[in-house]
Amino acid sequence: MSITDRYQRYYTYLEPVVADPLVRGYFSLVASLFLIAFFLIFALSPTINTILSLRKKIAEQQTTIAALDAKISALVTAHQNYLSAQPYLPSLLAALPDSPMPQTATTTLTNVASGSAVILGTAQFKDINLSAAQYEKAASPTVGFTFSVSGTMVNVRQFVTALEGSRRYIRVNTLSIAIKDNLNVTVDGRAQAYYYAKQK
Amino acid sequence: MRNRNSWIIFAALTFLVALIWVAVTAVGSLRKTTVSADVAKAAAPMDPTIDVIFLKTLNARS
Repeated sequence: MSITDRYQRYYTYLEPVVADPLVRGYFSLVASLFLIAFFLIFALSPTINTILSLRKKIAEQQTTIAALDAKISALVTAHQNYLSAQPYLPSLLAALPDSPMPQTATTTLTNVASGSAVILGTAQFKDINLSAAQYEKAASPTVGFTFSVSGTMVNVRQFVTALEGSRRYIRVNTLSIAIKDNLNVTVDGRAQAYYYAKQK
Repeated sequence: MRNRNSWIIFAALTFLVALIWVAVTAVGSLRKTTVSADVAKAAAPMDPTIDVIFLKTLNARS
């Protein structure tokens, strides 16, 4: 028995199907669609993705290089500006120390009081965070204090103005004035001395 | 005839799904950034100016 005779029945089954002209035409169409879909997914898609991602990477790297060049020139300018501003940095550190430094606030308070010819009755500081772990996490970087001064109205006004204009950055929040006699007044105040803690 | 039509519709839908697949993955690869967070942070613009006038005013305070 030859091979042709052996598989005769398969040819017999397929022959009427293949002989149909509609099947011939549609089979090529359906097969083409499946083949294109297959190549789209497994060949074209990775290639397109690679091309697009490489183009995007090149564009982003060019943008990054331009941004880094601009940053480098800005840093050079900033360094020159820093060198020119360096003589003034101690004043900045005195105005805004990097820790609460209640002693400088106290010194400022006493110096301003003596300079304004008023009597500093009381000065009270409370809740000062002295450890770095505490004041670096503080929500409000301030040292709050209260004071009481007495003197003439002019001198007390001068005291308040000088306190706010001192080297340490201090802001007076509230003042309550009690008149003692025709000339002298007693002023109770609440103020805050600021500092700038480095955030970790 | 009906069986033939089903095959054509199935093939057409497969082709359509493949097209959508390619489009979606292409858009996805376009959206994905290749710049790392550290590089983006380093390349962030900065203002190099220092307010020297303010520092001079501060220095003049007693």
